[in-house]
Amino acid sequence: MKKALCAVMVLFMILSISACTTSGNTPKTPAEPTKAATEPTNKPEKIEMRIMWWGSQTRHDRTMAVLDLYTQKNPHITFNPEFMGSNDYWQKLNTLVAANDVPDVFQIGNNFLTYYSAIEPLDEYTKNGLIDVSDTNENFLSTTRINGELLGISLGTNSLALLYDPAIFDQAGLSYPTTDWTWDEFEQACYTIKDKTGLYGSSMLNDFFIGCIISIPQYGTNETFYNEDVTGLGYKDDQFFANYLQMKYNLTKAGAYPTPGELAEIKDIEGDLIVTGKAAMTWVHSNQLVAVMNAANRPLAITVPPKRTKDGPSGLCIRSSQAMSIYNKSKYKDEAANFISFFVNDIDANNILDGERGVPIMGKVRSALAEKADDATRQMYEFVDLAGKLASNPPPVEPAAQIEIQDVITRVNEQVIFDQITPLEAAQIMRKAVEQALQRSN
Amino acid sequence: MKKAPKAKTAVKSLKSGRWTQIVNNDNIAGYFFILPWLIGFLSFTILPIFASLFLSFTSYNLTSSPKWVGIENYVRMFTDDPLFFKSIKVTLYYVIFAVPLKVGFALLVAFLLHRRSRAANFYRSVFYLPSLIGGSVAVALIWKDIFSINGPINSLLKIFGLKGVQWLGDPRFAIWTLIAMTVWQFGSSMIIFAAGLKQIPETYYEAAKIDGASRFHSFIYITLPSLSPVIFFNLVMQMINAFMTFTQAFLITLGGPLDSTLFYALYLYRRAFAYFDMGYASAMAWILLIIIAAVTALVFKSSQYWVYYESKEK
Repeated sequence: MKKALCAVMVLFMILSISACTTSGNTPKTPAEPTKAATEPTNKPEKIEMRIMWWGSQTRHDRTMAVLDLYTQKNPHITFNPEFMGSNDYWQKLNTLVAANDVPDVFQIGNNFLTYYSAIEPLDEYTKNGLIDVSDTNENFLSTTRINGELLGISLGTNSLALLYDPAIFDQAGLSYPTTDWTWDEFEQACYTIKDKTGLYGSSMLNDFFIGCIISIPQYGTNETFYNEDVTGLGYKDDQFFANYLQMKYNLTKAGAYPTPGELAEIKDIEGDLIVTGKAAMTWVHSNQLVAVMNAANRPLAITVPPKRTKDGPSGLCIRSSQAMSIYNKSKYKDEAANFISFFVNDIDANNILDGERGVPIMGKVRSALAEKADDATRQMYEFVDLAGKLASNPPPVEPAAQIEIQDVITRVNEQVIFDQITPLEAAQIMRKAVEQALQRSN
Repeated sequence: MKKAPKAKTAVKSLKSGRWTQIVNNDNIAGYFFILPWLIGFLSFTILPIFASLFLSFTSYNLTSSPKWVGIENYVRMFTDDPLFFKSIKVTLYYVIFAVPLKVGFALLVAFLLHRRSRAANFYRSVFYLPSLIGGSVAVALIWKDIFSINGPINSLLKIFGLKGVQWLGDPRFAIWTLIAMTVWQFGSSMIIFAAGLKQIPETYYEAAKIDGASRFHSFIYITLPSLSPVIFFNLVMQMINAFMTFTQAFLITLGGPLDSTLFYALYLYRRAFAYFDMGYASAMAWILLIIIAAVTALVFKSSQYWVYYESKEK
């Protein structure tokens, strides 16, 4: 009995192994001639295009609807979509890049440099018209261009905004922030708000964008946070960053700014302290405006971040919130280009997407959306227009070590708040750590 | 002509003889049955282990192919990475406090519930519950809420007129909320202790009672020594687990505040999957292996002084 059983099993094993190898090989040889034979009949080949993006459930639903719309118009193209939250996205994308298995079309942030080896430059496709960029201008295109190469088409632009609650400002007897507000005025306003209302002046300040990217150019020395080829820091005076940390330290000690523990408990932008009514101001990227305003459910106003001096540069930049790129080893580059062109230009598609990824870069799409926009959305459009006029800097390129650098900045900031180091020491430690991280990753 | 077929059958019978021998071998059948697991083990455990050893000598960011850098990762770790030492310090602190507390607590509860009654069985099941759901994300998130600034713990303190603290936001307390969570999940150790307690012959206690020993004395001089192999086992298992703690810190504190909960495994994860510094992270994994091996060896070495096996009379 045992003997027979063993024999059957061994037979089964051998069969399954040989079956595997044959089934893997046989279809290939006969298939090739048939494929060649069907091509001349001019029937478009059925294509399944892979596409990947990150975002919220709203974005997933809307994007899926647009994919369906595209398949209706181009029945030979179907999609195999992959979507997830942004944290998982980069892990997944890195793994896919390592495995040479990136989707044909994929969403990308400002971290092009990290994925440069996988991205197809799009200049060829904009020249031959496959991607129609006639309805936008160089300002918008430059948000996704590095060293003269267009690495993606921006799906939306945004800029950093200061959001404030006019009612709290009234209560504290303060005049509203203006476009030439200075950081000193901001700091004083925070103290006044704390004294008069007991609330925090400001909710979470993004140390990287505000303390570094925007603050450094504001000193008017024609310097930026990173140097031009992103191999080190682009400014010399450590006092620049130290000033920012000193301000945060003072605000925290005065109770006009939340402690790190409280800030760590803010789960998402809808749970921000301005939404819960505990702070008078907060900082958002303009594409988050609608979410915050809806969550707050009371009138909030918006302006640009403060400056160093009244007539100094704003340090602001218009960034691409995300872009669509094509995988450079994709089999369907032309089809992918065609799809991207549809995605950013088609009015019906963008009526579905409704600017959820930021202000669209195409003029007709923008005006179509602005027409039907609600109050919050219109404010977002107006703000990006305003920020575009005030912008003084090109968008920063994100180095591969971006996440590590942001962690370094958060760490020294916490050490200052907990009285372990002085702001100037923090700025020096940060410089050393950031330059090491940049050198290592380059 | 007549001879040829005869020779052929001879060869055939020889061949089939060896064939049956192979097929009938018990080991072959055994290997066949574990084949699926074996394939998984080789390709998903052994292969990655050796791959990580190789990668630990390279600079590798996933998007481009690994570059051989020799022992640079290890050198950098010991000469130029304060976070590496910080994470070792945090992990050791956690192991030193969480493991004895957890094992001690498990022993205490097992001892208290060591009687044959329906109530004891019920409570044992109840106390085991946290361990069943222990590693889950949901529990970690609930923990985060319980210890948040306006959470139940601080509300409770307020009732007694005490001012709440930022449990998760203060570098002095954050790690203790995680230690508390670990200790709370003492169930599996408790079950092992409960089984161990049943093994201790009742006669020992009777003899001690006749000699006038108190409950405390019989615990110290009978229960503890008889249970020492079980304590040893629990200690080693919990220690190895504690060195690899990750989930709680990842979900509750993110390593903060001030890196006070930056466990080794969390820092390793960050190096690998946030900074994509795969070579360095692989090197860190091997150093962790060496640390765990060394500490385990130390505990094993110490065991000859405090663990008593019945079979081995002194």
